[in-house]
Amino acid sequence: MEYLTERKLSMGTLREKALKGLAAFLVLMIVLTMLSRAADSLTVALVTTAAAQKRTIDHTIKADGIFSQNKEEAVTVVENILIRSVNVSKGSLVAAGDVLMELHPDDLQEQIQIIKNDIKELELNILAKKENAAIADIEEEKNLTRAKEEYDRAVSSGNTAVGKAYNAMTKAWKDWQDYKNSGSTVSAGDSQKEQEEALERTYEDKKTAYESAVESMNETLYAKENAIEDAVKVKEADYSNEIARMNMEEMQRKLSKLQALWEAEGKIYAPISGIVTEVRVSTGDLTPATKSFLVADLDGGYQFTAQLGESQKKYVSVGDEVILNLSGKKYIGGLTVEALTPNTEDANKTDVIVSVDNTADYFDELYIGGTAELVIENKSEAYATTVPLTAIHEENGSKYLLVVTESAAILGTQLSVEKMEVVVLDKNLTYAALSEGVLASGQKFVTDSSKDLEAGDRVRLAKE
Amino acid sequence: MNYAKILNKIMPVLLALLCLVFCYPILFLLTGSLMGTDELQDYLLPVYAETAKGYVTWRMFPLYPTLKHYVELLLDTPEFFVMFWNSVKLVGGILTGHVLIGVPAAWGFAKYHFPLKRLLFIIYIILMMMPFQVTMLSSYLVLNRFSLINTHGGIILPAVFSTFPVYIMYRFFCQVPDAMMESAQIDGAGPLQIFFHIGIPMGSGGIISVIVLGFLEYWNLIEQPLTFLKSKDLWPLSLYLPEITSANAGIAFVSSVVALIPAIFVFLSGQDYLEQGIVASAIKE
Repeated sequence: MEYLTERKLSMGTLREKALKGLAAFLVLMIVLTMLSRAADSLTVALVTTAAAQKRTIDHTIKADGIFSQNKEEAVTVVENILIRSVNVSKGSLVAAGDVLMELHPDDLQEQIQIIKNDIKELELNILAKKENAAIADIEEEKNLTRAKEEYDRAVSSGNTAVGKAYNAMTKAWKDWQDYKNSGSTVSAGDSQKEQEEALERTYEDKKTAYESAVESMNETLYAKENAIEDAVKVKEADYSNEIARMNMEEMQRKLSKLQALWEAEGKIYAPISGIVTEVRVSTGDLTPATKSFLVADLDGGYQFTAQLGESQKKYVSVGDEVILNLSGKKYIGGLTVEALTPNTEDANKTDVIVSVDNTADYFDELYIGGTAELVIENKSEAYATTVPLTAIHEENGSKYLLVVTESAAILGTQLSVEKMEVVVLDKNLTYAALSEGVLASGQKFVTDSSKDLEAGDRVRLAKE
Repeated sequence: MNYAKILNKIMPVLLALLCLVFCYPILFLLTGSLMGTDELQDYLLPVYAETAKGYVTWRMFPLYPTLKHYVELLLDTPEFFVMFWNSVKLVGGILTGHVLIGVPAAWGFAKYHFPLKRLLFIIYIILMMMPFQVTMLSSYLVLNRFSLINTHGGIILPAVFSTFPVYIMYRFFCQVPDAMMESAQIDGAGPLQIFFHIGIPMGSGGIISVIVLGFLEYWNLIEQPLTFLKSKDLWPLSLYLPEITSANAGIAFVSSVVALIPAIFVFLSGQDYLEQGIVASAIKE
């Protein structure tokens, strides 16, 4: 009986302890449940989702650029004249007729005198050349006449000598023939034969003398003919006078310019109203052969130039509407892209050029070197599937969305993300257009996440 | 006499050995829960790897004891707690139902006489004998009709009307003397007063034993939730282990240990009543 009572008492104590232990265990499990939930909520990414929408992909191209002159005029002066003073500097605003610089009058006068002397020298040279040529012609004529006279004289004396030799030869022939025909030859003795042979030798001598006379005359005549030919000299080409004349004309033009400068008291005036954009002279220097000044014509408007990158260039074409945002919420509308040219310094960039004429708003506030922001709105066709750009991720060159999938899990309906590869047709800074048929209608995808996500990661929705 | 002495000396040894055999699974759980993942994978390789040969080896003391799996389960696994509280909800609902429905039913069977009482009780006993597989299809159809499939109500309600607790408590209520009830009636007590002031106090042992037995049964419920609950977020803790894979075997051991703790507490708190209940269920009608 006592044993039973003791057992009951010990069982009662044990029961109480066990019940307390159970209660403590349940309390511990409540605490651990909250802790594990809290830890889980910290590890699960909080995401914002969206569904694809139909919209146009509007590209707003923005680029900073500067204003430059639309037209400018170069001021050139006769070179190598000493500059007394330069009255403007780069950026100076000038009116037409304003003095840009003054030339040194003494140097100008000296230059004029030098030019005049040079011209005079050229004139005298030309004149000397002419007179020398006339003298040479007379000399030549005289030599020719003399050669001809000598030739004629040689002909006359030659004919006389040849005639005499001929007559002597003819006479010797006749004497020899007469002696032979006298008949005494058959019965003739040795003396007669010797006589005949003597006549024959005489004839032969005369004949030889005749032939010599003819040959001598021919040689003499040949020499005289050569002398006549030599008297007529072949003239070399000579354009020195023409060249000198051209030089003289050039000098005369320069002289007239210098004289004009002299009359203007050496002052160089601005040809147009505008801004001096380049000054290539300074006091004490000589005037250069090329331009001395560049003056921008402000009445001709401004040229706005901005650089576009590769990604922007494809959305801009000539004729597109342009807005130029100036400082202070001012803007110039109604402009168009005039030209797109490759940038000279960076091959990957393109210069977009916009002309701003003097009828544009705020024209008076524009100035060369001033800056503005170019804005071009490019509207695309309406795409059926567009998503926020933040939803698109890229890995190894392929683009993908993280679509939200629901699955039944122990913690209830569990959301997780899966990768879905997409093809981006077009995009701007905010949205991207995707090829159709990939995303189901209404399918949610992650646009923003509190953590980096991988495929299969669990997520919690922050808001729709 | 000598035989009795020898038996008295041998018995404790035999009982200790038997105790060790029965306690071995618990020791297995405790040591496994303290092992590192690598160590567990080495020992359990023949279980998980299809190509591995041989049998599972085990070490009673971990080489590198760690509480990592406890921290992982209790702080980083909210799913475990969902299932734990699902189990608490199911068991709590069922046991409350037993008290609210089963206790009056058992009292009625024990102390009231009505037509076909014996036949009805026999039907009760027959139903008690039927395993779940027999009534599964009909239960499913009924629950589906009442739109209770995939709800905790679909598990709780059939269990609330289980016949076994009625049978156990019937035995306890039968032991309440009729004379005591008649005395109470003479003193002017009504049926409800007799039930609350005499029946329940005197049958409290039966009620507690029913609660202990019910807890141990329904804490380990597997077939009913697996059949009637489709959503995993409704599953009880008893279905957590099948979710465990080879990669986190350590968590399986820890979850088993944690699931064991309330059962031990309940067992200890109702140990003597549990014995009485088991004895009561063994009494021949």
